This record gives sequence, structure tokens and C-alpha cells, in this order.
Amino acid sequence: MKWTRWLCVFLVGLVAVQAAQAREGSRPFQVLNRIRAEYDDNIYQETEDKDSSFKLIEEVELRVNLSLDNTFVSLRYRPSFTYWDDRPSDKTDLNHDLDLVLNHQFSPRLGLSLVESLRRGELPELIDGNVVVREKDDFWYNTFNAAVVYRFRPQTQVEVAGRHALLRYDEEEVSKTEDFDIVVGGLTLRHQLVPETAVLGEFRAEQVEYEGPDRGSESLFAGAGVEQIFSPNLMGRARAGYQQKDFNSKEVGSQSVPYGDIALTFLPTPATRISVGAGYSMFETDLYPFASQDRTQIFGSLAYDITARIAFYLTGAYTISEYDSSQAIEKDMVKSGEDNFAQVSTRVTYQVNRSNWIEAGWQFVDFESGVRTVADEQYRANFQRNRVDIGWKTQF
Amino acid sequence: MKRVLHVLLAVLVFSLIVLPPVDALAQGRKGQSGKGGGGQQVAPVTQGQLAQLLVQVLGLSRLLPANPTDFQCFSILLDNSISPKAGWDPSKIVIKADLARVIVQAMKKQGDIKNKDDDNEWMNYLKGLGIPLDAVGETVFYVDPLAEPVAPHIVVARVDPLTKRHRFSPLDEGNYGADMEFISRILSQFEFIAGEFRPKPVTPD
Repeated sequence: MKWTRWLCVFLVGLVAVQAAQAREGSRPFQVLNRIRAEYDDNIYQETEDKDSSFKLIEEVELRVNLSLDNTFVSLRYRPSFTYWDDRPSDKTDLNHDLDLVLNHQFSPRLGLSLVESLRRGELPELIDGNVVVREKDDFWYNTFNAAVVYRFRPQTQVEVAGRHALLRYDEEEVSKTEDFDIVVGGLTLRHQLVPETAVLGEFRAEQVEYEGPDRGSESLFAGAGVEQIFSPNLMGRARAGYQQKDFNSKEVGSQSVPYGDIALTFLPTPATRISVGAGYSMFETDLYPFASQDRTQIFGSLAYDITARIAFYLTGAYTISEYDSSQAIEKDMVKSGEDNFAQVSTRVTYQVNRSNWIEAGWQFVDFESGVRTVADEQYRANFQRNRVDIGWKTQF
Repeated sequence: MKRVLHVLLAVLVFSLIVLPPVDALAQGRKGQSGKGGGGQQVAPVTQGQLAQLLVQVLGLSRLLPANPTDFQCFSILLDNSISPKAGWDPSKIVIKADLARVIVQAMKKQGDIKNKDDDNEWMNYLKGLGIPLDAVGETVFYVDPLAEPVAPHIVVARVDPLTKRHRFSPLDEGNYGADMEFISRILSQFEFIAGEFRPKPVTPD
């Protein structure tokens, strides 16, 4: 991990050297506080005999933005605390989110962008009655992206990018099947055809490695995309290509499938914003012993300003995960099947004044699994979960 | 895998050494700190460059991939109701009226503008707040990050391995203004077979 230490030194040095050049204007520091009271009707994600609980969620969000002549640094840290009124195993969770963005322009045509996201989650052992429903699932999740972009013409640029993602569970029993490392390298050539249209070609290489039994793979992606401004109120982008995945397990072999995604942003009125899209690709999975899933996802989001102070938000997503028994590293365990996952969330906010908002929200999750064991037993439990909350957000 | 990364690095080095310089971009950069030219034009800064600056100062960068394209910046700004009068155009030079409009929108003060078709009202509003409109690079830094950012970054169906998400967030994240829940690991029968569902001991360990 020596390189990460050098990277930290480099980042800190870069900021320190140029800090004196920081611009005047907005405040470089921001602090927000959000507190919510929530009712959760299925805290263990059970099919029947659900356990419910009230909870109190407290979040503090610290933001630092430094805008220098050629460098922009943004740091966001959000610790959060949850108190559960009726969760016998453990009444509190303490979580952490950290996001760092660094953009640096070396010259008019050469730029660097670094994005770091770190998540620390506490998911304590859950005990229902006299049975341990889930082991302690405390985890670390981290992604680090680096992209170098070079503009060799005003309308044409090439980007070389890399990514590392890792997941680590504290509990050995969980980590031996779930922990992963993903390394990605990518090259993108992008050209602006006309002001309204840009096209791109992309090449990606991805390596997925798991801690325990080998569900890993190496993939190559090649594709093309287009970004289009249809009108001042409508813009969209689409990407499509082909993915070749070679699994580490010889029994699983390899698979080639097309991939693609599409997204549209639309403003039918000045007060209404809509975003919709869909995507299909092979994706890694948390469902052992499968080494991969074919994932189809559609989503839609709506934001509507009812008045200057009252806003309404609605968002939903539907995911279909298809599992093929030929892609299981232990073929005598499971049959082919698919999981369906629906998620809906809505929220209303009222801006009391410049710095305070009160809010109310509802979230719904419906998970239905069609994956069964070779003995024809349900492999994962179906569940539905509702959460309702009211809260207060303030910006200091 | 290493071989692929080496090839990518070689392409980058080739680009740096062989390809010609870009005078137009260099001029555009200088223009950011220059003064406006008498009429409506602020400085030779394009709307694409303005959008790149805005997503940074508004704190939207973390919701976008590293090195976002102009289109990705336009899209997230549109999600937050920030747009010039005639919409976004990556190569169009920024004029004062458009700059005033997007800055007021970024400050979430558009409700204070009575006649939204009147360009002068948007500009006069900012003048009243003492915010200069002579240079894009100066004006945008009077904007604070959005307290309620809107972006579909949680549910968006990304298939690019450089940007796809794994939904590992320990708490709700705002998605298009609504909270999207972190999804706990869903248990399988396999774990039951492996003994993970074990009876709790009658007496403490």
C-alpha cells in the first residue's frame, strides 16, 4: 500500500502549496445537519412475522471546496448515527461516508481527475428470537478513480482512466465469499461532431477477484456511444457494445454478451424535471455460488417544485438479475432463476427559510427471488419493506 | 491485465508527445480571467467550460464520473433547473445574460425574478447583490454548493465498469431529492446450510 501513502502526500502537498491562491467568493466550508425520525416495518427483511422498529437517524455533513487557479478540491465527510428503538441485538449504528474529488489542469489540453469514495458501514449481528439471522456485516467499501484527459483538438479528446474497487467484511464467515477487488482500465476517444452531438468509442478491461472460492473473471469491453441535445429541455445519451468475460473457473468458461445503457433528462416545464433510463450488462453478484449475473435495470425520477419553497421528489428503479446455473462454481447447489427488485422512494421538502428545511418521506422495497436450490427450495427469502420518516435539515 | 494497462499508458504518452497544441483552448483559458468586451459577451469562455466550473462549485462533482463530459455536466445542471435561456450549447460563447441567469438559478433565487424573459432583470439582480459579471471564472465562485442537489446517481443504470455502482452506502443517499436505501446483504439458503443461522446459546459464551 505504499503508493496510497505517496498519493496522500501528493494530494496534501498540492493543496497546501496552492492554498494561498484560493479565490474569494463562496465559503470554502459548509456544515449541514439532518435528523430524522423513521418507522421501519421490516428491519430484518423477513417474508413473514416481520419485526418493526422506530429509529432516530442523525447525520452531519461536512464539506470543503477549494477552488485554486488550476486545481479544484472537494471533500465531503458524513458520519451518521442511528438509534433503533426496538432492535434487541444492537440498538445503535455508526457509519461513515467520505468523498474526495481532485481536478487539476496541467495545461490547457491536459487534465487530471481523481475521485475517491470510502464507505464504512455497521451492520450488527441480527438475532430474531433465538436464531442468529445474520452475522455481523460491518464492512469497508472503497472506490478510487483516476482519469487523465488530453484534448488534441478543441472537439476531440482522449481519456485514459483507471479504477480500483474493494469490499471487505469484518466477519471472516462473510468475507470468505463476499470480499472482492475489481481493477479496471479504460480508454475513451470522444469527438464533438456538431454542437448538439458528440460520439465516443470506448475500450475497457476489467479484472474481478474474490477472496474465497474463485468466482473471479477477466472481461474486455468494446463499444460506442452518442450524446445528444435534442432541444433546450431534452438531452440524452446512449452507449452500446460487446463484452467478453473469461471466468477464472474452468468449469464456468467464458461468455460474450452485448451491453448497453440509455438515459434521458427532460424538463417539460420550468418546475418539473424528469430523468429516465435503462441498462443491460453482465455484472458481478453477491449471490454465491454464481460468478456472474445478467442485469437489466430501468429507472425513472421526477422532481417538481410545487412552490418556490415546497418541492416533491419521486424516484424508482426496477432490477432483474438473471442467474444461469452454468455460471455457478458449484453446479450441484442451485438452479437457474431470476431475482426481481423494485425500489420506490418519495420525499416532500418545505424550505422554512434560507437555512432550514422540514421533510417527509416514504420508501418501499420489494424483493422477489426465483432462484431455487437443486432440491427445489427457495434460495433467498422474498421480502417487502416500508419506511416512513419525517425530518429536519439545517445548513449552518 | 497489466499488458492492457501498459497499452493505455503508451497511448497517453503518445498523445502528449506527438499531437499538436491547441491554441483555441489556451486562449479560452486566458479569457476566464479577462474582462468582458463592452457588449453582451463576458469573455471567450464556452458554455461547456462554464458547466464544468459550475458542477465543481455546486458540489455536484461527486455525483458524476471522474472527468465528466460537457454533456454530463449539462444533464446534471438541467436536473437542478440550471440552464441558459436557449438551453446548453457546448461551443457557444457565454454572454452576460446567460451567465446571470445560471448564477441566479444556481443560487436558487430564480423565484425572485418577476419577468423571467427580461435578461436585464437577471443581470440587475446579481448587480444588486454585488456579484460582478465581467469574468466567468470570478462570478461562479460566488456560488455556494447546493444544499439539496438533484441527481439520479444511485439508480442510474450504468454499465461502464469505470463508473458502475455497487450500492454500498451505509445510509440513505439522496437520489433525485428522494432517499434511496442501502440494501442489506440478502441471505441465501446456502448460508443456512453452512451454519450461519445458528441457534443462540442459552447461556452467554
